[in-house]
Amino acid sequence: MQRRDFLGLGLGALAASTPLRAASLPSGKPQSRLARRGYLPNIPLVTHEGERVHFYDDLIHGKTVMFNFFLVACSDGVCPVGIRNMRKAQDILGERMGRDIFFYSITLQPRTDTVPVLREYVKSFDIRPGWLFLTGGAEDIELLRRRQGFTDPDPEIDQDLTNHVAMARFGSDYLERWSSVALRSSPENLASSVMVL
Amino acid sequence: MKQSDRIIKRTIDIQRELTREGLTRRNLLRLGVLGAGSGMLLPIQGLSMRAAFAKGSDELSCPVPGVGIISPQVCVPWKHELRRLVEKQPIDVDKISWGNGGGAPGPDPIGTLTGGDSKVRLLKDFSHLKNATPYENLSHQGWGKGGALGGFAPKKYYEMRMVQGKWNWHDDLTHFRGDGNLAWAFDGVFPGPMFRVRYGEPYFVRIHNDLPPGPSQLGFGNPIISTHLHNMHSPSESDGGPLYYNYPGHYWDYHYPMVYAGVNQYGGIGDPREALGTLFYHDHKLDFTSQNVYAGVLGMCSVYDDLDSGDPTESTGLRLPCGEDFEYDVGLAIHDRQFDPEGTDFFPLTCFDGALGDMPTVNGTIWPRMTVKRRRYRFRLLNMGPSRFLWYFLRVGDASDNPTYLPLDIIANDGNLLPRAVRVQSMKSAVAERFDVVVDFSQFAPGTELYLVNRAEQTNGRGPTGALLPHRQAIEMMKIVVSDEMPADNSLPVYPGRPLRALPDTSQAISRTKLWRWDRANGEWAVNGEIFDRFSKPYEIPEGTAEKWTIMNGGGSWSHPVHIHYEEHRQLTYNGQRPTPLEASRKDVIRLDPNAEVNIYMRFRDYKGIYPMHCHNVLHEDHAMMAMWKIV
Repeated sequence: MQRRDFLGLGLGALAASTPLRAASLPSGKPQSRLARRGYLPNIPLVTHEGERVHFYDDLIHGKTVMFNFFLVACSDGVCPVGIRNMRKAQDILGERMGRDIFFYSITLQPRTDTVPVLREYVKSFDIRPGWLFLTGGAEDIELLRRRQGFTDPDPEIDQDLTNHVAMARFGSDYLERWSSVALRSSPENLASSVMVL
Repeated sequence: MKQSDRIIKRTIDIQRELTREGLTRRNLLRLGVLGAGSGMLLPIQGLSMRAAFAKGSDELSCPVPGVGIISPQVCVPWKHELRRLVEKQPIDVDKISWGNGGGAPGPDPIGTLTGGDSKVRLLKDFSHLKNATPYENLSHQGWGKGGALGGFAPKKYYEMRMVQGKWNWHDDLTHFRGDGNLAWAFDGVFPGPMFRVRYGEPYFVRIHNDLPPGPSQLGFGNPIISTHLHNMHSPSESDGGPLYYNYPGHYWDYHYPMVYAGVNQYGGIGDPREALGTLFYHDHKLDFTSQNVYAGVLGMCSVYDDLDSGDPTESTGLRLPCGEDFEYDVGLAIHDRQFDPEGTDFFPLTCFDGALGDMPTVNGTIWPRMTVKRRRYRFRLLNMGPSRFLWYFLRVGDASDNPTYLPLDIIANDGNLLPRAVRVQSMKSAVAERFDVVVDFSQFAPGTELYLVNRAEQTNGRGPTGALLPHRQAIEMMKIVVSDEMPADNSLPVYPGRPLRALPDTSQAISRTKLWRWDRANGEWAVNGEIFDRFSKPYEIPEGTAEKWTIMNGGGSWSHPVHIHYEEHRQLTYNGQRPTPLEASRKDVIRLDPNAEVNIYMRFRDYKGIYPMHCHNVLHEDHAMMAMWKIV
């Protein structure tokens, strides 16, 4: 991590102890407190449309969002249920999607879930605008996953892709309000979460 | 370099050293982190540091206090006298503000979509809540209605404002930061005011939400609140559940009929054996409860009746310690707090486990000192978490290898007077459990010092390890200093076995049994395999029936304090064992250890509507560890 990022964080031990060499670039935008503390690292990602973006600057800053981690080859059945619920929530949110509310799904298997694979996935689920599927560097995504707490205390379970966290983070960077919601609840429940912020 | 920058740099340097070199006593002394007359204290009191390091200290999402994050090492312990909670005063009903578009206090909500009673706007946003209580508009069930339950118009009125302000946790911290800490506070005080209320005196509270509706300047929290009085026998619309939003710019009217459970069964104001005592009120807004409670949305409430009389002359009822202005009836709201090296409040927004802090606070002050007179006191101990489990000991004198711990005489569990007082060496307390303890300081010479300590070993938010911290590593929370004043004490002594309040009989037959299995799958909490959803149909229970519930911890290393609203329960078995004398009382929080299975007896009486059941590790609560049930 850059020394500049080290000083910008309120938590000094982080730089000394984080083993991952992630390519989080300094943000060009004024950062919310959560971002300043390192929980919304500005990692580079690529959308399912092939566009290069940075997580905080382009996807989070100033927006109301819901994001989750998933993988295309999801063998525990959790992702399709979650994605389908988000898809229906997308309909409930209607015009607000892509205007002030944005959904993001980030792959936990970036080596296999490449841009063309994500494009197919998006098509098969009939995902509408306002929701981006994202891939990128494995180390970058791992950094984001760990900072956002989508982990398990048991290291074996933590690395097991058949048992990943089926919660979605939702919040508003502008309002500095963040919480999470279970993806296997209902589309109405998901939509309500972001509406009552 | 500014003084504050120097302290921050030193804190970060210490952290880096600790991380790199591992933890030996010599290192700690060399780094000047251990005592050594500098006024600075070991910031990592009580943690098993080897255990913490072994697990890896770079989990930023759930930073371990003293390892991943350290509060500024500036606060001198025992500097400030304990803050007594401000006593809430009733007011004349005509003085109560109507807000913007509201009306006078009454049985029916008056409001608009932009002001007045929040219930009006809530029902517009969530029309399915029209079925949450017997009244489509969320009218008060106990006021202005007929029948045994409907005629309890308020005899006292209160008004309270939830505001944002600056709070002084400790002069040294405030001086270090150059300013107080932003907080949300009822009537501007943290904890909020102490309500002292009485059975047979129904009362009304209008809570105005004056929080700023825009960005949360604290960096956490949601200004939509819902205030739950834990664990009053309140009609659902006044229960302050997770779905009852009190919006900024609006108010929510709460009506408390002040009846014991069992009005329908026993008539009058119900069964006095169901009397509640030490309660507390706190936020309960869905998804943001932990953040809002941490921001300051909490306070205490003491409930009295003929037996637990709250009598300043200490001459009636059980003659428990009270005194003029309740001097000897003391609420102690305990929670641990975390600050970042710059002294700004830290809340782990991306942690699913739970939140721990390295700064113990009591009644809104870090490491307070309480001066006591040489007579009996009643302490109402409340563990406000957010996630820390406590193991209370009262140590006489400084830490040593063989200290004296004063045996504790407990008179109430979760606010309910025990059938007989119980004496213990110590007691465990999960978040939201309360214990009322009577301590007689007349036995101590003036100048004696005691310490309220916590010896529960806990290294992460999931739960305690079950081990006791060694004597010298006990976490000191409050220091008590015995003065030389020996005022008159008209209260009666509390001795082991002293009869207090008879238990209600549990002869009513069980209509149904129900299993509630709490599980974690894919990082989500589920109850009986179901994910919490605000729109789900609640579990329905006919009014007046009794059920046996089995509460099961589905596994993993998590401990959960499970809490059921509205009625107290009786513990039948804990992992097949009969309850201890302390836990054979009525309770409203079940301390569910890993893999535990608890059977309880519970009745569902009087008012109808929805109520939640949830884990009171409030971070779990915010990750949907909850279920709704409904009395029909």
